Amino acid sequence: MDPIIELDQVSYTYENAAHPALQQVSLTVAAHQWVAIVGLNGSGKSTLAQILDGLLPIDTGTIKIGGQPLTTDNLWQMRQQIGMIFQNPDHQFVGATVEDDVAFGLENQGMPRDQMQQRVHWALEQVKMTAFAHKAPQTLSGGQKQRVAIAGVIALQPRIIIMDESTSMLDPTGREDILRIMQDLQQQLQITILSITHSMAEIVQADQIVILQAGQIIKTGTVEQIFSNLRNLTELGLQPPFTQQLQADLRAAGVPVTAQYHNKSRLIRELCQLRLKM
Amino acid sequence: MGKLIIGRYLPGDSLIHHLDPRGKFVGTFLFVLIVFLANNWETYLLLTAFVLLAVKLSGISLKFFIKGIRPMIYLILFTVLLQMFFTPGGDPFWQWGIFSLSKLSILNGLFIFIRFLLIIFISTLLTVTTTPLQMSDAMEYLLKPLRIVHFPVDEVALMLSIALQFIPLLSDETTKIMNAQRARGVDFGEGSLINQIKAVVPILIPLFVSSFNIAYDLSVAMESRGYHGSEGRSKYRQLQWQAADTWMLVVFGLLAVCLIGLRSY
Amino acid sequence: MPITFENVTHIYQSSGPLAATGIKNVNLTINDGDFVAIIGQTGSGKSTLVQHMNALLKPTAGVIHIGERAITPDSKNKHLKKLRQKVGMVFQFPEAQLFEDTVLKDICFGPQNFGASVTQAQATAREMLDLVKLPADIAEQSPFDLSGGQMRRVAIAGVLAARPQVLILDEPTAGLDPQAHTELMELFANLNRQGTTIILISHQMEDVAQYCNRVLIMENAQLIRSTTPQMLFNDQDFIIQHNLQVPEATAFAQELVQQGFQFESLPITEPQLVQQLRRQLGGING
Repeated sequence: MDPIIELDQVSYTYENAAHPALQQVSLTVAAHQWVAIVGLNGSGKSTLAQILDGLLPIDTGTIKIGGQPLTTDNLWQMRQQIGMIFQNPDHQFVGATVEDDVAFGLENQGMPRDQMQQRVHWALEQVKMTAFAHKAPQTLSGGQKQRVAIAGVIALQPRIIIMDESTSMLDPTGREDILRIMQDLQQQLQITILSITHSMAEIVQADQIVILQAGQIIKTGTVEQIFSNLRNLTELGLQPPFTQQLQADLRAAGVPVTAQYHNKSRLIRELCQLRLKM
Repeated sequence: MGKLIIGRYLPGDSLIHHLDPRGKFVGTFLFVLIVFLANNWETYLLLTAFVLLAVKLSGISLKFFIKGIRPMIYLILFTVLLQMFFTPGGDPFWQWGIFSLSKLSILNGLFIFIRFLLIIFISTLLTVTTTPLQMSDAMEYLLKPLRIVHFPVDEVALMLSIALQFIPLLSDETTKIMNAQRARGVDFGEGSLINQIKAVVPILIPLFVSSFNIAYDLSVAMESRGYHGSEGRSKYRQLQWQAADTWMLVVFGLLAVCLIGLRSY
Repeated sequence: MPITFENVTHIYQSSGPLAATGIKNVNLTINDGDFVAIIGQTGSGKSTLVQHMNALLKPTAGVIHIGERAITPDSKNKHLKKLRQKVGMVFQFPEAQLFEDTVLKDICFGPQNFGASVTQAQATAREMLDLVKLPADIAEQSPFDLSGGQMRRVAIAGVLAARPQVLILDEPTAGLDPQAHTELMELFANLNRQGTTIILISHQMEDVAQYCNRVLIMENAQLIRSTTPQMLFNDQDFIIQHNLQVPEATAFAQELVQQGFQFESLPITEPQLVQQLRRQLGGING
């Protein structure tokens, strides 16, 4: 599959900062993938998200979106291909009502009003928020606010959506809800998702995991590749997934399960087989 | 804060609530002008009847409006008394130095008192039946001619509408910060004046920091959604002028005509 | 310093048309040395409940006993400092409360308000920096130059510096990475072992299972149950009925039960699950 995002040797240093926030970062993302970007607080994850959307100008290196290099001249066109959903649901509302907010990005593109109305309606339907169209954002729960933010982004029909810890301020119900909606939308709309997250539930369902440490990508791989070795995970900002931790601890306790990477249902199957042998 | 009635919106479903905010704005402005046409019992009676009818139509209790006067009552009484004692002419039945009272001056004071009430009632009616957002939309529309002199009408309107929206958020933030500092041993409203002023610092600084954080996050979010100034933007929210709005202005016109007919010359 | 609630109700803006019930008829006792979790959906009254425990809110009905002190609807707002020194509170996203120009001064703010001298407060502050695992040389920096995770630790140090006997934590690790989460939870567990009563509002059932000896469940402004984590997570009907989560170990064990496994009591932590499985499966091949 063609890569949709290509970063080559990208570096960025914030003004007055002693160390670069990103250092020689190279990364290729294939289209329609779900990429989880992980790392400790302050490892450069949000910076990475912002340079991709051209919100911060890179010092050196190149960024290509859909094969086209990102430059200051084509910034606004390129940005139309990327939607971002941020961490704090209260800090990203521009419109005074749900529908006004969803329309904001469309207004910026100068879309005619009747077309906007259709798009807003469609987008709200996708996130099941049609009934709230005229409500003020303050009356919504955190999860509902993030749904509206998602609607505002998909109304622009981007090819890539970047989630910058979009579920970290939600309660477990809100978190599951947003994850499910994003999974459905990814299937339906064939989008690429880059998700910055600490949530293990989200990380283990990703196609690719990218681990950042002190502004550098130190590891990329599939869930299986990353979690087959549980050592040093917490230093990288990861927890071992429950299944892998259990598998390792069972082995340490003398229960003869295999060392090979298992997902939850495979581990359960193996435990059942062990039980039948007794 | 809780006592100020003007400027607060009360949700409702009345005829007045549904009128176009631009019309209400213009109507209120017109009313403030034509109040000055009244100069006798008949005209004031007509105006009072008109205002009471409008209040009735809004479905909001008159008590609410009367409460709204309370914060301003001293200012009103002061002005009225000034008028009473210093109006020359008439037959003064009481005089002391430069102060004098006559039947005419008492009547005059009373009329001014009524005029104040009517103006306060009608502007309260505008704000309680119109959301802040509708107000900012109406202002944006009515200020459009200023674009000719390069006044950034759209930017100002967007700014206003965002600012209105973030007021509840900042007020929550203030409560939260105050609670956090109280938990760390700050007593608000206790001790000497200097201590009380000192107690404000631990609230103001975090509040500034939060406001800047919100502003920064919002600006990044807006930019990521393609906002680059008002040029080339289309508009989703539109105000709709209906027959009822035209009728309202006609009623104001008729009122003015009646007043001109009834006033004494 | 035990805390007792007797029929405590709090109604916000009780006189106006916008009245809203915060908590309703709550009865509870928190004993010295408890590590209590308060769980429930967003908006169920958890934050309102804990704000009564250091008299940030007064009940609109009922009585709260905090140690010697009784708080009733008529209690005056005076002389609450002593109480607030003993009952510390870490709010959600507490980094929002930082305001001084150096980290050290900010941590000293609480102790000084509670009457400590500057030298005393500074000595405590430096000790607290070490406790929350921040480097000592951070003391003279501006808190606003730190990372979000470091700011959180400074804010927590600022509350701990008053040496409270009861510590209330409102989702103290929200938004932190897993390493910081574990470090802070271990810090609270340590304080608890040294005698501090901990009251934790949390959505993370792993923490409830691992650290808490008691759990209070709030729903629609009411305290619907007070029990132990072991009892709660074994009561599947109750969990489903009230839309609560269970720890991963319990969920895993439930799936095993469906496949024919039997547990005398469902494990609520991973080590418990390992132990029970070893007992059931460990026999073969030694």
